Amino acid sequence: MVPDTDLDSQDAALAAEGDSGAFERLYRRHVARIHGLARRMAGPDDADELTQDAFVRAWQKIAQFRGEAAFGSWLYRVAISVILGHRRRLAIHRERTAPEEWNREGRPSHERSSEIGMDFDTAIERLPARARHVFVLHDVEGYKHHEIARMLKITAGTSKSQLHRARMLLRATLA
Amino acid sequence: MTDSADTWRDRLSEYLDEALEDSERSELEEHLEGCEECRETLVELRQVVARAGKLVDAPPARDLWPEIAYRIRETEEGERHESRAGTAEAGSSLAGRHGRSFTFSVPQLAAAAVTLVALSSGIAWQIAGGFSARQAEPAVPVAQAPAQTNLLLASRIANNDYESAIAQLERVLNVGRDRLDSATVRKVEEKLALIDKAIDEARQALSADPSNAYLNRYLVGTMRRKLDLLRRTAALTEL
Amino acid sequence: MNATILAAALSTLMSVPQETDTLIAVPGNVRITVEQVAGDVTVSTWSQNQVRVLADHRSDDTVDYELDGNELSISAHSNTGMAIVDFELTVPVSAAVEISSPFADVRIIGTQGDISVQTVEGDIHVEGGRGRVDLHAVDGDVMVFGSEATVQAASVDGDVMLTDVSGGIEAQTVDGDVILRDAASDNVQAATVDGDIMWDGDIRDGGHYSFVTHDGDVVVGVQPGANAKVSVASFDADFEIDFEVSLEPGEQESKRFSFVLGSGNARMELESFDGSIHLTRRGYLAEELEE
Repeated sequence: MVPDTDLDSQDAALAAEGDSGAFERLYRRHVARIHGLARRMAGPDDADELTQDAFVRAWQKIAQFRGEAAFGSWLYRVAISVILGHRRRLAIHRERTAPEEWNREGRPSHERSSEIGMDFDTAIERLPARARHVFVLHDVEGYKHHEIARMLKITAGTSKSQLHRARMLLRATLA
Repeated sequence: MTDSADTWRDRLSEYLDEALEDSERSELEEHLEGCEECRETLVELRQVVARAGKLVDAPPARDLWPEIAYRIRETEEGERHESRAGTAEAGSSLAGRHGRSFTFSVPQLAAAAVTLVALSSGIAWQIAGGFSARQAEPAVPVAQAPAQTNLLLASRIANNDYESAIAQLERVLNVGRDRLDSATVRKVEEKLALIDKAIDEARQALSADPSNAYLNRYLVGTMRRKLDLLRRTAALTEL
Repeated sequence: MNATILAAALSTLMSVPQETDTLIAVPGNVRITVEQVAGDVTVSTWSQNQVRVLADHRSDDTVDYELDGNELSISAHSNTGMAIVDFELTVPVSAAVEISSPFADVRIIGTQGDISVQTVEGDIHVEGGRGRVDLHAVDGDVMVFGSEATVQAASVDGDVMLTDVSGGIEAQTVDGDVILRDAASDNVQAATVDGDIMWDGDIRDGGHYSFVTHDGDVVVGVQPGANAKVSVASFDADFEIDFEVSLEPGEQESKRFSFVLGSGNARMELESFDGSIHLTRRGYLAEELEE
């Protein structure tokens, strides 16, 4: 059986030549992961649209994929940049409309942290935005603090403290 | 909990990630021996990290492909359309689809924007010329406003050229829009709607008071603002 | 680093690992362009004919430098998607700077050449500049402080705020305010669609000042003894003036009229389709900001 990474390389090459069938195969193999990323980073409401945006962007940029990294990691970067673009818009909007209640004291409000029996994914979605992004990128996706710092335009120190904050909040869902 | 427990508790994630300096790690381990609460917290944090690593990605509830396929096709068709219009010479010589995303947009969008300016004349030039034309040809002061008939004629000419200029730019943008962030596209569309609303209001006001020199001039100015925004957005696809 | 080695190294493209500190010998009249997709850019000055580039980036991003005559191009690329590089540049005072980074906050302090900045999402902050300063953002504020340049500042969704600018001004946004403070320009065009226009500065003899909004207020503070012919026009705006003026002879309507301050040497147009227009004394903005 041909490993997925080889299939990816072949299909990516075909897609770069305009083969949308090959691109659909790439979509089928990776959509769950990209959708999971979008859902955890941006919430369930925007996940479908961001997933579509990410694949459309990937199609446009696929000529830049040189096969040096695995297609999956490349696609991931593309998706993160789409999701973060969306995030920045929302963040700016939020700053301009109302201060986020979480940021004041760096502490959670009760209802979010103590809901019992919530599944882990739902708990992640309910984390404050910054803590959620850092947690997803670090603990779920395996990026390093200095990489996350650059993606989110924060310091590595903030990334570390937000990660800790997220993990502390998520303890409540372990029961 | 003591202050020191609080301080160390805040470092537990770093401890878990093996990100502490040797000296800090020993100090923290020393603290852990005497602090049950921190030991418990550490166990829980480990569980959180372990669960994060085991998350399963479920596919989306509905199939997202048809819309992606549609958007991809739309991009392709837009490009073919542009190519037929003879504006894609620079890109067409490049191999396959590799130049697609870039060679296509950069010179052509800029060229299209320039063409628009060249297309227009008279008052339409005032519209299409955007901000700098405005400076070169300052708005007519109220007291020296031209006669009503001239204004109406001018605004009809302006309207015709303007509509075709807008239509052209919108076509250009339609091709280029996928190169822009979707949030940016939404934002620009939102602001275009704001200008359209202003244009509508000015038109309505003008239909009730056709001889109003200010409204005539204002309508032209606002239409020009729309053109200017479209042109600036087209330029963005070059970034 | 030895200047000869530097020159040799820079004659071709150069790839740099992450978190780099690079020194490049340049002519005093250097034109620096920075191009990338995302990452903040900060530019400050020093008295040396060198450009120092602190670049903070991932290991799979590369930063390329190309020096050709007096043109120094700095660009960021990534093999694996979007390059995100935070640049801190220290440049000769007389350098011209051109920055294009769609997702970025850009800050330029103290350069005295032309400045051009294009962002999509992010704020632009410039202090200084001579010649031409052209700043374009889509979603972000554009701010200029203390510039002798001719300033063109535009946003789509954001405020444009210029303070202490003495060259010509073209300031526009679609959804946001245009705030011009302590300006000494003699050619000013300010426009927004949904927002206020505020001017608090001197009106210079022979100058031309145009302030236009659709849905917002125009508030203009001028110095005592200002000489200007003022044209006011609106569809449905209120007008208020804090000092006595006499209307021009001829046709005057409640929503369109003109009057003269002093000798009427300068020309001012105040237009709000559907807001209020207020002509007041210079200094009102400082008072408002202090409140």
